[in-house]
Amino acid sequence: MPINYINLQPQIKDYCDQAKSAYENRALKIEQALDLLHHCADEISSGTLQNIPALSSPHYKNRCARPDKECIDQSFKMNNKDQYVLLASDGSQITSSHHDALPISLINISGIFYEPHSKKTPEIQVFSEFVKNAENDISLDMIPEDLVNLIRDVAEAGMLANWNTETKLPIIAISDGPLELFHAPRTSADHQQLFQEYLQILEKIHQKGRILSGYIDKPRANLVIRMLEIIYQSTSGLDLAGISDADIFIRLLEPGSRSAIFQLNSPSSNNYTGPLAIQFFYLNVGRKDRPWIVRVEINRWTADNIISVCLLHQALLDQCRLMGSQPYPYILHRAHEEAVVHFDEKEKLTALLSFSLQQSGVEIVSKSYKSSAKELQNRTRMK
Amino acid sequence: MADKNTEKTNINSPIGYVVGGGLKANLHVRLTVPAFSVQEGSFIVIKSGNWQFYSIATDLQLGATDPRFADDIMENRLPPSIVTLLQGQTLYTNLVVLPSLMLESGPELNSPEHTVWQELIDSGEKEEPHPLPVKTVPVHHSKAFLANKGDIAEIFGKETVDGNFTIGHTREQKHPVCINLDKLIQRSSGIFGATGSGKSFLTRIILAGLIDHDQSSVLIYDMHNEYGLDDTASDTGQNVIGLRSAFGRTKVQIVGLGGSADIRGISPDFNLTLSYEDIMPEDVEMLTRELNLRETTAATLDALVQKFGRSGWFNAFKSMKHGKMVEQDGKRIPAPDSVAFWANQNGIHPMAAEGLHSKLKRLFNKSYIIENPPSDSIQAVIDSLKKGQHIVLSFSNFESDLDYLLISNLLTRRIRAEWEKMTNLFRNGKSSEPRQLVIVIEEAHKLLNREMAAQTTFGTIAREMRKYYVTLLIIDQRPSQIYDEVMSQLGTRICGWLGDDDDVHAVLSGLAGRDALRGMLARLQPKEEVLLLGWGVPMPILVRSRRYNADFYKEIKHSRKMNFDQKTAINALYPD
Amino acid sequence: MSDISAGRLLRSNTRGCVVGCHVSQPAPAFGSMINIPTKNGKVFGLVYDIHIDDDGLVRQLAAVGSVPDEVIFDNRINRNVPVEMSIIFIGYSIDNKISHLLPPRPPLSLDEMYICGPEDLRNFTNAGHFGYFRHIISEQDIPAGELLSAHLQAAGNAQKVGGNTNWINEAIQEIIILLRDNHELMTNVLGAIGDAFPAS
Repeated sequence: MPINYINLQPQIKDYCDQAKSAYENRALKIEQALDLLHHCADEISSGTLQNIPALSSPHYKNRCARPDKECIDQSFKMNNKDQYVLLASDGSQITSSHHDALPISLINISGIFYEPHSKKTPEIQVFSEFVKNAENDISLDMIPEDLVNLIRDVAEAGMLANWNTETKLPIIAISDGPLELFHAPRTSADHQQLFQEYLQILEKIHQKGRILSGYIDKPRANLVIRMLEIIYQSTSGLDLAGISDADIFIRLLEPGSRSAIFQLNSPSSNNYTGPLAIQFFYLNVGRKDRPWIVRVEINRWTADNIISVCLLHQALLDQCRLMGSQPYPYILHRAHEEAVVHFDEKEKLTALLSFSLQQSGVEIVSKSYKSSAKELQNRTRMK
Repeated sequence: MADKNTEKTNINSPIGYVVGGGLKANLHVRLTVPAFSVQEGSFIVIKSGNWQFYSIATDLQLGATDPRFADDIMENRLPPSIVTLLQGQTLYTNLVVLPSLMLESGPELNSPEHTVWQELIDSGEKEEPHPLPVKTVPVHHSKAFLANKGDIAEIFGKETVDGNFTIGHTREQKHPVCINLDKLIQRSSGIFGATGSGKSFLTRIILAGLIDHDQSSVLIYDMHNEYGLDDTASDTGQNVIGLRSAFGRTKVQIVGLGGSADIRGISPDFNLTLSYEDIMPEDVEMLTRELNLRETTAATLDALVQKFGRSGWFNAFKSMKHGKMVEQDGKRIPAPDSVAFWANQNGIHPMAAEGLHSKLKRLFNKSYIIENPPSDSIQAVIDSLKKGQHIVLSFSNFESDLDYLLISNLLTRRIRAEWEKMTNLFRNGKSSEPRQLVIVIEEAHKLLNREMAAQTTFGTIAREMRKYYVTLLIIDQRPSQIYDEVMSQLGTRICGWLGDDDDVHAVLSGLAGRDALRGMLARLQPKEEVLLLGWGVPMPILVRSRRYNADFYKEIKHSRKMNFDQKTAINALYPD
Repeated sequence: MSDISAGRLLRSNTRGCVVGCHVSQPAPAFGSMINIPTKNGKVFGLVYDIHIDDDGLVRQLAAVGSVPDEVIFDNRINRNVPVEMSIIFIGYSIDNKISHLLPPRPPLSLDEMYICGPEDLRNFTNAGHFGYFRHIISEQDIPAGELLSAHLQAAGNAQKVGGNTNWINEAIQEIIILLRDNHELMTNVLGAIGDAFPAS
């Protein structure tokens, strides 16, 4: 049945009425947050805020930013013209459903190697893998989606770590999404094993000297806001609820500029130690009339090397400019394109596996009728 | 029948193929040769199955598969070779042909079917094919050809056959076209053409043919002294051979009108004079318009005839005095020898009689009408014609219409009466067949217009056809003025260029396909081309007429030699 | 005939087909004659459209001022965007006997397509009397003028090599005969042919 639009209309109206006053409130809050940011920056630089208990060490309950070496309200322009090469990966998956005739799970990982100004065609690799069971066979069990996602994320990182190249130029490795795998700890054995594997991969990347970053387009996080709230929690009337970091940095950062690098403080921070510790900065990849704030996560080994940060800054802007009015790193878009699994491919793959099993004499159960019913064609018309 | 196996085969390339039309609307032939290579009047042969259709081209029409192809000048837009190919397919010329005859030509030569077909003919089971009036149409895409010599001969006869006379040649390929002189003289015929169209030369050619063929006698009323003696062409200044010069005195005699007649200083072979007794009342009535006679004329003439007889009325009337009066009893009364006196005596109004008398003075004063001519020259003319000689009656200095009308009608009346007598004797088995006589009259519209045709002997002859072995050959530039009943009786019509629509209409009256031929007459080349049509020719055809010159007579003499039967002559000379 | 496959069939019907090939494959030019081997013969066709679809990424890249070579190569070589060629069928052969009729059955998906060489061109055009022109002329949505022009050039050259220098004129004549009731299409087609053979 189609949506009952008549039902929804009053709901939309009520929301819009409320949103207007909320919007006006937001503008005040953003101003307040900006003032606080500047104030905080001044206090840090004057030494007033040297030891903030809530921020002095990782605090498992807080998910927020922590100042690092750079002045927190400073913006940094890109002046680099250095050479580098880019490596990106992305992944896609097929997750099993109990409606399927064969509940398969699969990951599809792509990697793309791009050498700017080389006139070489970017190199692409794609590999696909069934999720295997303990016996290392194709698992036809129901596997939770988040586990498949984790397997995929680890594989993406693995692609970045294991790509072989002879280049002598700095390699900037970009992945789509945060470097922090999941926000909250996962305690299952599978999760733990995979997480350890991930940490090892990060270390491998570090050892190879590659500049690793996680690119978050349209960040909704309020890490810096939360930091300000914690620092100035005693200030009366402080209400920064509902605004995000992007709201303040869009005012702070000129197109092409980045913010200061912040440390990431989260319940899982403990897991990323030493050079693997996760940090981040905000970057305006838009233009004057259309600014666009993204968050870039890096590891400490990158943050501590200003040259690496500048190269990364340059690379991200170069890549976003390729996409014109909708800035997004070209290489990430291509990696996604190469990795994405279309719906009909799941069908074809299932059919291929079914056929092969039947050839081998294995009986296959059909898909659920619920699923079949959903796939019934819409009304057609005689031509 | 001509040898159709060799001569009928069209060795020409086809000029097109039939795309439409019909018996009523004529046939349409899509030309596959350039338009300028075929002209109006061309003799076209269409081959369809076992039949051949003989036609004359009457129109050429430009067409296009789409009018825009004709409008657009593609030469500016496309390479020449493509333009040629394009125009070859989209622009075309249709030839409109008037089919007249069809002939069964049989299956393909040398085929088994042909052998069977020929055997049927030879055995008499099947009629020998001969040209028939067209009754059907050829199928679509039948090929059309320009007629070859064999086709012409098939229809119009071979030159070498006795009686066939070459009147001219086809325009494109110069094949000879014959008319059959025997058929020509079976009915009255006409030679028409506007002034300056070459009528006189054409007439000379026909007359030479008739004289040479010698199956009929020819009496020519030479109004303008053109035919008998040598002349000089007014346009070219060239010598024009006279009929007497060409054939000699024994065959052609010049008769001059009047006792002291001479034709351009040359004396005729004998002179024609009329006696008073030769003039009949109907001769005078025929001159009503010329003499401006009144309606009382007939009554007056009748009274004269009643009083003086048919032979004496003219002399008596001539002798009467016009307006002579005498004194009687103090009163002036018409003299006894006056016209008025006679009128009063015979119940005729004196003024009517006097009026007639004064108008007939033009006749009374004619020097060729005398009371006692030295001989019966009319009879002499008749006798010459009966003997097989040909007479050219030259009017000498008597060039008025009055002379022409009177003499030609009077003489013809006498001649026709004579021929009627001979015919009746022949039909009663008391005499041999009369010799065919052709009377040639110029300015025929003066004698054969609607008003005169009923009165003159010529009208009678034209209507009688060949009943009494006398036919006419009329020569005229205004055929529209000739009584249409007379025109419809004409067998062969030989037409030069005519510009007047009425004249064209008159020449074509009574003929099938006249609408198609109408434009052709107006586009004939004067002095070069003539159109033959009518009963006397198998089908209409346009020819380039022969030149009338010394070569013409050489050709005639040559053809006479060719007809000479050598074998018969040798057998006669050496019977052993 | 070229031994290298120039693409594979994506979809077809009795009148034509669409063949997909990668940009790196040897692509036939517009108007080229191709053949698609079938079970017992071949299907012949002419390329009348070469189609390279755009997509969101290409449109976005095209809107940017300058595009680096690496991005261009990436899009041409790496991206799975095939060149599609539309083919109109002009005949077929069974057991080496060529016919200018439409094939009795269309070729199947993924059948390979090959470019015809001069000998194939001669053999095909010599079989019959230009009967296949009617397929081109009667098809509504193809550039008939340009297609015939390109085909005549290629076939004419092949015929010339084989000794028949009059083939072009005969072909043009046949086209004129087929189109003489359609002034607009005729002008269009002859204009294209005239451009291809300006000095003839």
